[in-house]
Amino acid sequence: MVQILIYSFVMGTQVLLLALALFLVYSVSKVQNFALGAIGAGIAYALYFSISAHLQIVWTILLTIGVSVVLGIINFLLNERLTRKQEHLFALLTSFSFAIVLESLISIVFGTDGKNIIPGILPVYEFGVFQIPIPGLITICFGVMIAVLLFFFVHFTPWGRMLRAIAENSFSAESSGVDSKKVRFLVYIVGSFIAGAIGILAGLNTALTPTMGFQLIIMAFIAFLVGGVSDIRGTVIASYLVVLIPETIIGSLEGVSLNWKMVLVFAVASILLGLRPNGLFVRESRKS
Amino acid sequence: MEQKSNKSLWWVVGLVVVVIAIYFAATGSPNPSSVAGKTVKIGFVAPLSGDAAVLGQEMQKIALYRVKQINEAAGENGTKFEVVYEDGKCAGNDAVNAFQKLTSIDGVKFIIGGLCSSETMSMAPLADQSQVLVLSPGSSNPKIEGIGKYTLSLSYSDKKTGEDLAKALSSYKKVAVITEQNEYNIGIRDTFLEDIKNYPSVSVVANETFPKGTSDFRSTLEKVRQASPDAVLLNPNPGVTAENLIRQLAEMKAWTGYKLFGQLAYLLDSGRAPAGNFTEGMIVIDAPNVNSPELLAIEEAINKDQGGTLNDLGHYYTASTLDAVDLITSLITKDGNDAEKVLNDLSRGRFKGHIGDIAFDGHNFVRITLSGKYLIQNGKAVLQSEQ
Repeated sequence: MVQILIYSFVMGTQVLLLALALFLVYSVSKVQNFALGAIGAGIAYALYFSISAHLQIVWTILLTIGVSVVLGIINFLLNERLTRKQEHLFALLTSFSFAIVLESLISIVFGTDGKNIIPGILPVYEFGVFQIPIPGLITICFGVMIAVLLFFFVHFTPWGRMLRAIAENSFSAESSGVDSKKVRFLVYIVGSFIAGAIGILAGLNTALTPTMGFQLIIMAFIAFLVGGVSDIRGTVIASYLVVLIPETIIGSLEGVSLNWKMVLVFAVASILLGLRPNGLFVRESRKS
Repeated sequence: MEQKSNKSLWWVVGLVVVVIAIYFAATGSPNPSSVAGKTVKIGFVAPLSGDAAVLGQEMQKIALYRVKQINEAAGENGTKFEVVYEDGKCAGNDAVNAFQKLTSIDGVKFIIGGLCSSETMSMAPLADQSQVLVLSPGSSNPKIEGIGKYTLSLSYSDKKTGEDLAKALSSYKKVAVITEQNEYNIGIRDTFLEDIKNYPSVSVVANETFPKGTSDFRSTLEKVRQASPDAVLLNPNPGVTAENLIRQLAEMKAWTGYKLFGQLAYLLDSGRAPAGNFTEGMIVIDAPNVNSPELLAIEEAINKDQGGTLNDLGHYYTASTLDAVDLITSLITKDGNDAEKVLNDLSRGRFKGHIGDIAFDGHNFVRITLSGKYLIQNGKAVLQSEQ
């Protein structure tokens, strides 16, 4: 069971990272940005292209960063006007469309068969009777690091205060001199980088497919809703809960296979949302 | 006088009728759907994108090559063929969309495909409704038998594969099976589980199913490992899923002491490649071996003409795709653009094909009773026996 929990922790961290990107973008734009999953896949494919084209390490890094920035800017431009007009539903649909376009472009350019960034059997780290693939270990370390950094950034830095001010009320924040457009722009770029990191790590851990981002964003979206859209701690805990509980049930019950996973994920999410409708750490809204 | 000339007129009319009757009796009735000198459209449905795209694209190459040859040989007065290729994506709903597009927009009466059982099984009810002949080169789910009048398959049935897998695993006490949730794999699993009951000394200690699109199998593999099976049957669809599954199994270095079994997904070199030497000694049960010199020469010619190689589809499905094109085009040339006539000829006739003697005898599956048992040796699938 411990081994299953270790594997599930890797998956939970993948979900967490994307949920954090969703959290950041939602904080400043009130848009659930579905394109982040496909952006992550796009950046991972850019890295795959660099490696398979035998580009030098400098060019590989530059290309990957360049694709991250470009996709972040496109995502921002597609949503900015709708965000300002508070057309959140249209912005969500736009991000969804952007995701589909990106996935289609990836399929056209790279084909739909799986691609391995690291060919062959993955190296594993063994400790006692347990093991973890090296990309999985990196995922956990990176995920925990980003979660901690983001928590401190949001709660203890001037930029974080600015971000929270925009999340609270962007018009009031603007009247206090905060350039909300600039903050949103930077958050979209940071969100794109985080999505790219998780796309690469998920691709290293399994394989790249054009639709890999969609599967992850669905889980991240559920975690984001369960955790509470305004509390980063809730997003962190919910990301692990919606993965670890179903995986533990599947791992321990005979006759319950992986094909039950999404049923269990939705069941867990429904129970948690029923118990804490405003988020795991958000107190129930005051009734007037 | 007038009465006499009327009588003569009747004689003349009678004579003309007799002459016409004798002419048609001698030459055969006129073929209302004669296609000589015309171009007939044929539909083609296979996974051209998605996990199994590598197989569908190879099927497409074979069809492109063969139809080009047939059209060149037809000359000006012969029947020519135009194939409309549609992507079934190895999924029922996409195959239905492809079928509807082919029949209502392109007006085809014959479809070569699908490759995946989910494609063919979804098209079968529509084929009966619209009287369109669907000839699959590769669908093998046992439920295709009896599915409808207008759907035929040149594949061997998974019933045979499942039975032979059960037989091969019968010498182990504890067996585990890991299956992808789609028509092809579920068909094999169900037959296997049914047949393994005939061996009382064998118990199935793990029977895990995962949904299409799964990429991380580590938890499932760990669950299976904890059941300590002596033999593990991997039953995914060919493509990235099969590659991920075996790659992640190979990662579990501490898990040893079990024998590995597989089906078509691991008969293909590309399915085993990501796991390297790990698959040495694996037993694969699937297609009967067809490798006549003529077939190998055609494969060579296709590789030259279309580029790439036909490594993934394997000899059997290369042969069955060639046979599907040959059968459909030759019967249309003979019977015209008439699905009912072609169906009657196809389901009752006997033909020589690259897969061997072809006869349906009123069944949906071609009458093939063999399957092949292969051992993975030095990175290649080596035929051990046909059973």
